[in-house]
Amino acid sequence: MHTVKKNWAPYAFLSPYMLFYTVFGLFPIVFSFYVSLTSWDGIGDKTFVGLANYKYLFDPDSHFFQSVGNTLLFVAVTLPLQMAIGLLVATLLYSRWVKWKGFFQLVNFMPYIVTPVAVGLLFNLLFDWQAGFVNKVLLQLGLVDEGVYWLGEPLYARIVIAVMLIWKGFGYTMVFYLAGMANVPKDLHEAAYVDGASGLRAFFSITLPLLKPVTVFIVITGIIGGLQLLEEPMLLLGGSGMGSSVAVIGGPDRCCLTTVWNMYDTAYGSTTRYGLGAAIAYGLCLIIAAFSFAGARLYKGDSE
Amino acid sequence: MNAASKAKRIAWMVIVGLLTGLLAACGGGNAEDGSSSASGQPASSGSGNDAGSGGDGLKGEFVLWTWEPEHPTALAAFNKKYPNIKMKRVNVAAEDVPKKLQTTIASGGELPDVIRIERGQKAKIFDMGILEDLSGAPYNADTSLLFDYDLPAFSVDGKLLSIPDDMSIAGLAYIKSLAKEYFGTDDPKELEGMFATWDDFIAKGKEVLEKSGGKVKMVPSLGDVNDILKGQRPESYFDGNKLNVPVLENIVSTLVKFRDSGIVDKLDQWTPAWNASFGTDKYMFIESPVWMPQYVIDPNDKKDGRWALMVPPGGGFVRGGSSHGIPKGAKHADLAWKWIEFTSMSQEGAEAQKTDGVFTHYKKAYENKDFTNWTWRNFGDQNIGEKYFVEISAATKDVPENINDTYLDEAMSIVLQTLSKDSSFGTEQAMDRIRKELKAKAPNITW
Repeated sequence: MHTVKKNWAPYAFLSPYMLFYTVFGLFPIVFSFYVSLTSWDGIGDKTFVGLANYKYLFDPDSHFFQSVGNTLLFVAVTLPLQMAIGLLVATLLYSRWVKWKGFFQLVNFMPYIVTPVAVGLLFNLLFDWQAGFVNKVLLQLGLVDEGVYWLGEPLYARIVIAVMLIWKGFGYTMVFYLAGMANVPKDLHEAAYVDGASGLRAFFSITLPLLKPVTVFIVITGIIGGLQLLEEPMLLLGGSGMGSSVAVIGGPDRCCLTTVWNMYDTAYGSTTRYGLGAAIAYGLCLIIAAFSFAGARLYKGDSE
Repeated sequence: MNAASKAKRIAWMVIVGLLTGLLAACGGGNAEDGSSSASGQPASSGSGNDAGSGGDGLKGEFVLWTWEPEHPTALAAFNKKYPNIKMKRVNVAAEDVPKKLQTTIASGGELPDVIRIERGQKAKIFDMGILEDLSGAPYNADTSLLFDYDLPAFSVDGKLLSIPDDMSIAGLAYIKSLAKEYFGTDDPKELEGMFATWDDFIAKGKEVLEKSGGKVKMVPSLGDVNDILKGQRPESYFDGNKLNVPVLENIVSTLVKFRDSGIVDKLDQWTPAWNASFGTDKYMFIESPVWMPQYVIDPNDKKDGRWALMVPPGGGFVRGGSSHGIPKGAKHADLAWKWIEFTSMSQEGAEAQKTDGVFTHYKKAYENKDFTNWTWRNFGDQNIGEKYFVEISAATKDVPENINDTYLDEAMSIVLQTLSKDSSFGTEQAMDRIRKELKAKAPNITW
């Protein structure tokens, strides 16, 4: 009794946060799970359907696994390239040959802070079939006879999205690698050079191994962030017509339908199946949790 | 009181204060005017004169969800008649209205007194079952004031759920110089005689294609053709959950015929290329709802008098447009109704709205030749008002839609994209694709 009385202060001081978290964090999580077990359009009564929504995720018509596959494909293609380009640019900027380092850091980081709406519209204009700059250049150079239907063919649409994500994301990895390089002790490099190691050898034998924690961090956060991909493909392929116009959800053949886009479209877009939308969200949550768990193990193994 | 207990008392007060503040912030509360239910940016309009009485003695403020900029003349005329009724506009994007309604209802929030409903979202909002029957008491809307084709389009099970606001009947606009060059005339009447059916249109289009060496096509996008054919369909696509397969198949096969003829280009609608096409001489025709000259052709074609308007083969159709509905349980439904009635169902409202660039569905106004007189710089001295509101209007029909139409629209957008890029994709494949898409989105639909 005495202990409880004595320890009231931490609980009391934590209570505003706990209350806030309960209302805006815990309650929505629990409520979403409850909704995922129901059939609900947001207006009528909720009908309890058990695990039917989760079962439906395995039906190809739900596009759940297709959307997960698309998302993982984007992550698998873009993340390694973002990291490679980020590392290359960071190495160049960290070297003694580049002047105006601050300027180049800013220039390379800028795409990351551009709003996704602007990025989507920018690439839409660049890769427009008839009026796009890319097709005009290709036609001028005589490389193609007719403009490439970039956003209408599944393969090309995926390429455009991958290019967009790489362009937007490499500056982010560059910043982390720059920070990581600043922490690599200089004396290790000096010792290597004294022993006759080339710059390339020093990079692969000293810099790169010491950047491993940074790399692991970027991989984990990159995968989690990549699995939440929504705005860029949606704004690129979602069309910009008048209210009556209907865009093709997920791009041609749903090749670019990401998991979050699928969830959004199911719950708030072309259908209003809140229950199924919540089930998709929980499905995605499990996938992110699995990757986070694997990442944490990787990180732990690395630090040990 | 010692120092320790004083400190304890202060600590408690701080905690209680924090918790109270937090709970107060969570509460939100209901503002008197009901605007707290909406997250948009409310903007008060109106006379601001709460004193006195006027216009049926009604007094107060109603909330409107809309994406439209204010119609100042119409609002001023309304305020003149009803000086004690104020309007609070809350900006909600057209495509967000259904979503916002659902989340407001799901969270137990307060709905507005009137909502503007864009045609693309109409079926979805009607399906929610949240709108008042405006033909019943206490509104008792006089449906004879509207056009005949409005009633099926804005009614569900005999209940009138919204009142159309802006005219959206559509004709066919064409570039006069191209018509003159390839058909020997740019007179609308002669062209209407030449194109009695869409088969005539396709046949003539092939001639144009041949004569121009493929440089001039009839229409820029298959989506445009679909808009027209869909708008002219003789019956609804759906009777409840039953799909009217013959009607759909007929439209799909006609689309395939258009595609195979080569007279339609592959532009996607609403893209920069599609917009820019109106300033070129590449495409002779384009669907033209009432809003098209002002909002689409004008900004994209700087030259005057290049266009003319005609009745399409098969008659007029409806494309786009908005209406106003009152949600059940609206606090100030009586005030909102007065506003709808004035702006969309009265001569004064029709005249004021015309000044703001909006033609309403108040039928009687169009009996006056001065009212229908409307020209637009791109169409030279052609009286397009008379063409739209007299000739095309007389040849226009509309059919009811339900929630399943929104799923079909999405399936059709996939089919249109595939038809444009894949010349081997035929009617059968298109119908299979539609079946597959509809099964995924709405398993209740039967064929």
